[in-house]
Amino acid sequence: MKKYFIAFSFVFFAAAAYAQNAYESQLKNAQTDFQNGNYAKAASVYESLITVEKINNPYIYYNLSNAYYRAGDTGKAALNIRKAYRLAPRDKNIRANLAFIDKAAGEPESQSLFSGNFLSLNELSAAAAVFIIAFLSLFSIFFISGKKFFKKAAYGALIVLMPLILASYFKINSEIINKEAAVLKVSVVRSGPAVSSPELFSVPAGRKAIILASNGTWSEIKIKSGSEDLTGWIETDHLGAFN
Amino acid sequence: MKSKHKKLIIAAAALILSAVNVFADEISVSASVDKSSLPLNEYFTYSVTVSGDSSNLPEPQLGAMPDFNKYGTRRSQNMSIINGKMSASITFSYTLAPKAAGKFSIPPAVITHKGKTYSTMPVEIEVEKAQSSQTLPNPQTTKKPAPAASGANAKQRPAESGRAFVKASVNKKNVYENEKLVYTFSFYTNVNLAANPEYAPPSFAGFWNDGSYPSNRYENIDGAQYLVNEVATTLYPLESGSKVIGPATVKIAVMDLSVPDDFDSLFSIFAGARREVKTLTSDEIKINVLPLPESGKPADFSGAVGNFTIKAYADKKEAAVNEPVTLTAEVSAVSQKGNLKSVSSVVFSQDSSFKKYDSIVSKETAQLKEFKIILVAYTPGEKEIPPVKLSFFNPDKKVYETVLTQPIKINITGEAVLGQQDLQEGGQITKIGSDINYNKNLTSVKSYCGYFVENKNFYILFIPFVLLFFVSAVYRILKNKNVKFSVYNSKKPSFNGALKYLEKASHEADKNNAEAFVAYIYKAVQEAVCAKSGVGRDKLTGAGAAEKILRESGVSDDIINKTRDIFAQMEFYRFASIKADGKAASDLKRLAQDIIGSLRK
Repeated sequence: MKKYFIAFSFVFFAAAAYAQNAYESQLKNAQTDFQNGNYAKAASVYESLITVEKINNPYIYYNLSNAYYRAGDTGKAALNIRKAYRLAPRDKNIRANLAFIDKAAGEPESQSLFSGNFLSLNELSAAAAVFIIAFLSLFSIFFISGKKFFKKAAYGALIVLMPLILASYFKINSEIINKEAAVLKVSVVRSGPAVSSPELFSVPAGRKAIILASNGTWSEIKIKSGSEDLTGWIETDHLGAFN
Repeated sequence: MKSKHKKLIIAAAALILSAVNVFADEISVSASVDKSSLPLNEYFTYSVTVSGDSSNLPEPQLGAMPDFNKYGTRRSQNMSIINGKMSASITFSYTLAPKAAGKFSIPPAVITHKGKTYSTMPVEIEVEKAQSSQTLPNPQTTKKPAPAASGANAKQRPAESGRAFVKASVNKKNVYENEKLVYTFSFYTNVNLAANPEYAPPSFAGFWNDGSYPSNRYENIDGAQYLVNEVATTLYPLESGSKVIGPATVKIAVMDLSVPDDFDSLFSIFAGARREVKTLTSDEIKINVLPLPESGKPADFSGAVGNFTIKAYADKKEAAVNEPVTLTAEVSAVSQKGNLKSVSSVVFSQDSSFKKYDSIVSKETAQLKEFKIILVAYTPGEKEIPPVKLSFFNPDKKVYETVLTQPIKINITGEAVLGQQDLQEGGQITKIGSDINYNKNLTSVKSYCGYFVENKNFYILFIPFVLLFFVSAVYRILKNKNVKFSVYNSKKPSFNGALKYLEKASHEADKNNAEAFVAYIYKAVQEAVCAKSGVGRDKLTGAGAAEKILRESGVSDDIINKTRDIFAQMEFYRFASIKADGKAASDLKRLAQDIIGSLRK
């Protein structure tokens, strides 16, 4: 039994080490391609890490965004910097590039209450979970022991928990319930899901849109233009969903 | 101090505004020739000079000149800034050759600038008959025509028994982008011409044509003396690839001195009408234009091709703080092997001692290009203007080279207007542009998980805590109600335990807690019955069970009856919701003490 365990451990760690080295080599190649101006090639390496190796990492999205931006693809640059931002909202480079690409795409500055975005949704969820557990545990201890200290501590946990739940709600709303996407290329938005529908407005690559509905190969979107929200239908393959 | 600032602002404005031509509209134009009379087989230069206080002077439009061949145009430029005022002049030089003898007038050249029209005066020129070939000096050489340099492409087209032919050649057939290439068209003749030949240049598509320069000489070929008229055209290839220079032609009119067959033709000799017009055509030439190599290309390379030298000088050796100093950098082509048009800029090194303004091209001729930049020092002391640099590709050596000027010492007097610290640490920051932040240098990556809120395991985590919460809450509620009937006692039943319950019952009676009092009395009797009989508490479910157990244990009927009575009373109090208080409670307690005491004996 012990022998099998050792053999299994060896195979497992060898495979893990091999995977790690394989990524290292791919990352190095991508960086070299980027430095040499082969932006499309660098982007394809990062894309393969995401789609084939299923790596969900903010810094891969960040580098991929840079590669697309250098290659002149503002739409995909905006899509990937948003993905990076959702995972690591406090990273200064990611924040700076998001602001830069948003500006390049003509995205209006966000006026929402929780636009500060200090914590990712997972961080908010984890923090809320910790305080929910603390609240339940402290109240349970109070019920059993009858000591008022635990009751006060439970109320303290509840006070912290409430804004966390509120922030999580807004975050879930914007990241999961509202299906957000980047416009990948300059597109014409129409009044209906067909090319025969009248044109309403054009939208530049890189702009953020909320997907309201879908119909075949078309999606209905809502997009901000100055102080008003515009809606219309766009071909779905012109959109890149953030989630 | 204010006057110094004003001076500086004026100087800077002069440089900056020169590019957008905002100065007054005063310009002048004049025309001249380098010779007013010449023989028919020579050429002259017609120059039109446009002057004004603008950097954007227009090119003149020449009038029709049917009596002259136009070979090429050169352009030379001069620009100066004096006390903040800029003036410029451009001279357009046209090489012309007369087609016939006589007196001619070159029509006025006209320019239009900002809605106004300016014109030159007509220029008179006298053309004498060409010297005859018999009177030409004997050439030194008696060899055949020297083969043209690489790529020579001669084509002899005899006219009048092989006495006139043309050839076209280039100095090299493989050239780099922007490298100087000279195309030469040669017209050989030893026959009397009725008029000057008319030259039609080839198509130079894909090349920058920097002008043509005619010349003539004599050459002895197979014992025959030839007059050779040549037109050399300087070309610069604009892009790499295979290019073709098309055929050039020359149209000549040859005197026919043969004896005519008929009387009419014989008469025409005396009338001067017997001439034969011929067109001689050269072959096209293929040129292979090579791209500039990528390896070894300096970071500051801006496209200059050739071989250049550079020198720099300042307009003063001493200046006051805040006073403009003009630094001039002259770039010259070595042995005419340089494309000065490809020299778009030179590098003025960064130095925090001086504030620099944009450089301008102040002079440009075929051999020299001059750049000027204004420097301003903010602190006094012995300063050194850093070297000026030019990187270029040398096609002869096939390598990139960089030439530098010597640093120039200058003494700055007066008081500092800004601390040296300010200058070095942030006084002169100029934002040039903005860009995305650079890539992260990743060597390994970890994959982040998806959203917790979308994973059901996240919610399973809370289940034990929620259960704990509810269980403890129920416990709390029950505890508050003080319900102790179901409390399981793990200890073996004993009479001491019965007495303890009796004592607790007394405490509850003192607190007027009748319900609890009855419960403890019940427990006390139960404990005593179990202790006497040795059966478990769970077997004693009521008065009937107690009677049976006690009877089996051999207890007297009196005690059994008392036990049955007390169980009946307690059940009465429990189920009838009547409180056992006062005398009833003390009677109940006394009865319980009696039963416990009897059973213990």
